[in-house]
Amino acid sequence: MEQDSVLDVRDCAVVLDGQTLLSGVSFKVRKGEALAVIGPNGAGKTILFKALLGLVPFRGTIEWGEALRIGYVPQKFPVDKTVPLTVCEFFLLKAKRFWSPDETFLEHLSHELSLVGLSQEILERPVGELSGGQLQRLLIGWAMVDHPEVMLFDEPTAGIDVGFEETVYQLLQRLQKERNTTILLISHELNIVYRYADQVVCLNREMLCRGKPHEVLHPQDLARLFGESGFYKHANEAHQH
Amino acid sequence: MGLVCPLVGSYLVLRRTVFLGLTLPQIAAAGVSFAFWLQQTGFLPRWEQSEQGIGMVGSLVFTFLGMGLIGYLEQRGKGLAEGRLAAAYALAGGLTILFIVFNPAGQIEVLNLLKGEVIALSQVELRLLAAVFGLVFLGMLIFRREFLLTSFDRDLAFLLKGRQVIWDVLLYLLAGLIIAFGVIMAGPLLIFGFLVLPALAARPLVSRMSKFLLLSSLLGLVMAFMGFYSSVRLDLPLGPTDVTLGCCLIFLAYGLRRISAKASATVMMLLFVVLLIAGCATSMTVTTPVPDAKAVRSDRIWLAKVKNSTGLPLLLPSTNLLRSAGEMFGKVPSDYRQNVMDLLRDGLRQELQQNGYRVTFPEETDARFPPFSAETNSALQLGREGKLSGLVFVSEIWRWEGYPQQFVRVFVDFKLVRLEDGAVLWDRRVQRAIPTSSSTNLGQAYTDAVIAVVHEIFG
Repeated sequence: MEQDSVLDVRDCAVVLDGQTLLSGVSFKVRKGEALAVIGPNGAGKTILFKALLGLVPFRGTIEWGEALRIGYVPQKFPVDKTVPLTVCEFFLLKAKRFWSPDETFLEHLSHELSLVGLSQEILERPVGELSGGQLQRLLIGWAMVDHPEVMLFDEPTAGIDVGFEETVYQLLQRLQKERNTTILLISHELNIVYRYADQVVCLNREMLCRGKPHEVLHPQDLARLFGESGFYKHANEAHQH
Repeated sequence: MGLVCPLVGSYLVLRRTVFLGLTLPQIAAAGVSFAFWLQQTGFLPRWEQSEQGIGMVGSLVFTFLGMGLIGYLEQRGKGLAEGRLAAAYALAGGLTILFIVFNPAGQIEVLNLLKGEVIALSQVELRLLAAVFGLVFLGMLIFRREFLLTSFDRDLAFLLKGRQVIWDVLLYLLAGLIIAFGVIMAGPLLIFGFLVLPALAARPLVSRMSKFLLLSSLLGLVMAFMGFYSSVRLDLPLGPTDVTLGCCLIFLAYGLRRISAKASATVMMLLFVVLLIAGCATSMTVTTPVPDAKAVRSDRIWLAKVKNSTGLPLLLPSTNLLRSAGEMFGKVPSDYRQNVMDLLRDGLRQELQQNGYRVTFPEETDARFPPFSAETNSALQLGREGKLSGLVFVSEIWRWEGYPQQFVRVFVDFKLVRLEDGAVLWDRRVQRAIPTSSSTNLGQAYTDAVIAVVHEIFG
């Protein structure tokens, strides 16, 4: 593995219950880079992330840099509405002391919450009572609270109002710049990919393209990836304008 | 049990695997009945020290085998998780009954166990229970954060701490221990009740995890004490009583959630005070001994045959020395088998005579006289039909269950009724487990219990 690499994926494949969900995926990510994974629904993007995190068995090689802390924002986080866990306790799962937290952690927590647009008052609220948008912000906050070197975002703006979408992507940029965080991102929004990603990987059960967005995302590639739905054209044209 | 089981059950509730809390105790119960059956067939030796020892082994083996099998099927991930647990529950329930049917000699013990008829535990069993539950309690305290993390979300737990199999295994090991030991001591129903019901009752009342775990344990204790108290006072089997109370706690909790926190606290305090007063009132109840002849101004008393309402013959084993001696001297016919009712009546007669009464048996007037019921009106009717007058002393046994070297559980009603006006001059209910640890056989245990009962009512 190269010195500035944080992740090296070689010929990764995921087969579950005899069904090949993903095959032939290879890419490298360098420190501080932002990599976007795009593809239609069911292309295996979330499965790829789960394989990277070791949550599902895979074939091939996935090699992470030494002693990396990884933050993960899942696409869906099913929370039982009646679960007796406050937001504060949810964050304390990451603290050194869960049952008697220290003040420093709580102060740090308030700061991180403000970055994702959540106030301190939310700390005493049960996790199950949060709205979809609040929960998504909470998950982003939870993933970044211990300043991980790498963060994986699986459609981080799903369920978030349009106004906050921009805030999320600005936050990603800020994390990249200020904390030199490496970002892996799944997104359907090509304009976001063009604006924020250094690298893009196109998936549709297999890897169809890889490289810098401006270099690899040609209309014919996108047509191959998403079909002739025209869904991608708007984003691509928007970029050209 | 009331303190520790809800702690483990809280995590089952968090993991949404409540049905596991029902299935595992049932599997343990199947292990108990299987072990007793093997013992009956002679495959396993009899343990003189503890009859429950063999059941405990069966319970432990079946619990951990069952957990292993469920875990293996879970890993393979085929089919519906609830479906697997339901099938395992049905199979375990069926096997429990089949093994009981195969083993008629041990039916009463196993059925009592399944009903949750906890009567008393020996000192060894109590120490063992305290050691196992103490160990589990410590484990739950030390690793509570890890258990919480893996129970709340496995993927997040994996990201934080890496592969979490060790915490899953440890949690299920601790759960298996309390289930296996709890089932042999208290039955599957009670263990399931303690595992799940307090946690379900605590859940709507709190929003913090720390309070949830604390309140679950506290409600478990409340359920244990109230259930035990009600069971003893009302002579109900402990398991069903506790489970019913646990369900009432859940309804109460959802009711309290609708009102403010202050009002909830007030209701809880009132409930506590009412229970306290009820408990004190019970403990202060004065139990008077049978009045003497002078006190009731009558020395003629009819001592009715003791009515046996247990449905069991309550015969004394033929090794009874008194009976053997009676047979030798020709005082007892060889086809006669002494029973608890006769023993009790003999004891009552002696004590009544010492209290200044002239004791007569109703059957001396008419040999067809049946035993009198403790129900006053039927006793009066019988007395009047037999043209008796004066006082009649009636006794009715509702329960008489003996466990040699341990205890005899008794539930007997006594009544002294004036036949002229139907006035009840004295009545008493004796309902408790009488320790008979020095008795070597059932006959001796029954005799000791009769002596204790007679001593109790005459003071």
